[in-house]
Amino acid sequence: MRRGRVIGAAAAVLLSVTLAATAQAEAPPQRLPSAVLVFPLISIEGGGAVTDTRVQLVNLSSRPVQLKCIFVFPTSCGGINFFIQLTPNQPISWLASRGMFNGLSAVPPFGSSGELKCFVQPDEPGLDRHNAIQGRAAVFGADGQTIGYSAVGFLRLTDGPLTNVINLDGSTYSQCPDEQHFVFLASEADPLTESEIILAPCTEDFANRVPTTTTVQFLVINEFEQQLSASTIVSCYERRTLRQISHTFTRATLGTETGHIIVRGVQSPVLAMLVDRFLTPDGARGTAGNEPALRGGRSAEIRFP
Amino acid sequence: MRRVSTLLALLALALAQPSFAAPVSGGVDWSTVLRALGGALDSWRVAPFRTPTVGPTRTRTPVAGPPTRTPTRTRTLIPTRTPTRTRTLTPTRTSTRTRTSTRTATPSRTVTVTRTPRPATFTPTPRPTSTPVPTLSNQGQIAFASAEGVPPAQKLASAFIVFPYVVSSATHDTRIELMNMSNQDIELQCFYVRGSDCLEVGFFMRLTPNQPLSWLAYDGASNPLVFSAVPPFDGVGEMKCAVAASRPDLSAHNTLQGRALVYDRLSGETVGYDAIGFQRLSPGGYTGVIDLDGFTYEQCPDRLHFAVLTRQGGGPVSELITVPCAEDLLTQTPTETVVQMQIVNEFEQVFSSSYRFSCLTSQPFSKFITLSKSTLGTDSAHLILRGVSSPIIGMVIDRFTGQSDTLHTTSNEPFLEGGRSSTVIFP
Repeated sequence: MRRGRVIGAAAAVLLSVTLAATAQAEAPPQRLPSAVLVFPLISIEGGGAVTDTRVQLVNLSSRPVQLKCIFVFPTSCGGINFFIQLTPNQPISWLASRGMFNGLSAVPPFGSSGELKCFVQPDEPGLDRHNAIQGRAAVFGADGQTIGYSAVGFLRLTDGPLTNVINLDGSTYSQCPDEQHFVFLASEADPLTESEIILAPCTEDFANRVPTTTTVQFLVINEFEQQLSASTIVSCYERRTLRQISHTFTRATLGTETGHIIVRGVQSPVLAMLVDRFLTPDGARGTAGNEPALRGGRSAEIRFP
Repeated sequence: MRRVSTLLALLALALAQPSFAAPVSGGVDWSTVLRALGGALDSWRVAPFRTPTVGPTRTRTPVAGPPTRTPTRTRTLIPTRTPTRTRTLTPTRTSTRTRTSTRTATPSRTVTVTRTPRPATFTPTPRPTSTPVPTLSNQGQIAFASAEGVPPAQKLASAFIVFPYVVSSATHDTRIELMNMSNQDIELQCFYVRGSDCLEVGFFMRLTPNQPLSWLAYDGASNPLVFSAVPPFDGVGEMKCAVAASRPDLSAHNTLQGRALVYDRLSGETVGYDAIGFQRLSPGGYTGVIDLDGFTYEQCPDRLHFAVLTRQGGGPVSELITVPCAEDLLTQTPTETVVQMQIVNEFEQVFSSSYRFSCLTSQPFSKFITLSKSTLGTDSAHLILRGVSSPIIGMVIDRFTGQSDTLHTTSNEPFLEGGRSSTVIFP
């Protein structure tokens, strides 16, 4: 009898370890109805006259959804909280510089660039109540540049209410990606071809306003399979040109026009996106958002007030 | 973990179809078992066993009663779509490994080919095809049944990728970018299919470990060192690439990702998007037949959801690009399907429309009055698409005016819901 219990306990431990190991390797699948959304790039310049961002949210379920959102200022790592109510299947959009008020929801003007996070606050604990939303954003400037991208989504994996701690641990919510893979165009000598990278740590503590600082490692592979590396330190949020991080991203150093970057946060997993800038053969300027392919998963935690 | 999952799946199978445990006379019908296992995996949390061809039970007759918007039980299928659940279940499909291999080894491949006119498989779906009549279901949805199945998880290393929009002309070009996300050499079999006449051009490529590669569609590419050559493309079309894995294990298949930059040479108007990826789910050799059935590869998405900006009078016109998931390049049989559109405005008012296409289509928003702000009354709309006789994949090209009436263009990639099976056959 006792031996049976021991075997049972050992089997349970083995199963839990196996599950944990499985969860560790899971990158968050994208473009599915999600419970947490992260918009890594909200850009406002000149009060919206130079650059503005249209944020779009859509309720993919046939039930009303309430969202708790926080806009994060990169300088202070503090945020503004607000709530959004979406009716079944409802889409909404607003300009970040102007905010929005529609009777059910009120979004303040953001006033500066930063990062936006939204969490589903379900009225019932079921998974289908959590995994209900998706979103995208279009950053556009007076110079005609446009950066469109989809929000990074995290799925709720177990039933339960929304608490003030979002455990991106592979058990409550899907994990943060461990590695992010970009295929990018190496920058030429022309400054119009300077691509940018946006980096934000996955772990954030808004409740105590403790900025997360992490080293971010870059592995750069050119078309000849030659490998170069670079690194930078990110605290709360960073938006830089690739050249500001390292010359390894330039055509002169890389040696090929295309490169493969693998981005990995050391102390905390990070979320990243690129802004591709290039010149067409006829000399016109092209811009596009470049979202990463994801590999592996690591746990992170978001705390909000 | 795999054993545990297998046990769970078999348990679910047994619960889902009690007759499975009963003695079977005349041997085991493995196709039935496979289908039952798949149904059980998809719905093991929902309990009732579903066969894909249960037509009559799903008939969505025009309801005479008031279209109550109370969510029905069918929506409770959503949890089955959460990838972790499904993903943990995925390995259980490997229990059919021996069956799969025997199937591919035998002349059943021809059986698969004869099965390829997929419409026959899907005809039982009792949905109105091209008549957007306002038959409100009790979910407030028009001509749509609940989405079932599992959509393909995106942005992960994949075994099969689709670029739904590649343009090569005197004024436009496309930079196609591929990336090997593994530490091993991979070989790709790719096809460019021109939208105007469904003409296909096939080619092979080889990527060294972690290698990135890009080329312009107008120019093509050639690298004799790795035996890769890409012909120049012509016109507007789509490109599909499959990993021709040299080994049967999943790590040899799920290795690829890609994106494309479509640009106007003169104005610089750019549409950058990620290829839609499908992961291989069960080990096995590459045969050129891509079964997007939820067993071998991930299924095609059943519905595409877009958050779009409505067309303002006199403003720039957005475009809707769609391609069918099912494609038979072996017999050059174009897949034709009707696409049902459902449009929800910010007041939750629902409109619908539809169109028919084969091969590839680019539909300007100006074609649909239901996508204009004057009809919808709001700046944003929730656009839901569903292919009737074949699932579809696609994207929207958003065009809008910004500060000082500058034109802005960006890609708008879909959110995915549900899954439906289809097959892509390469020659």
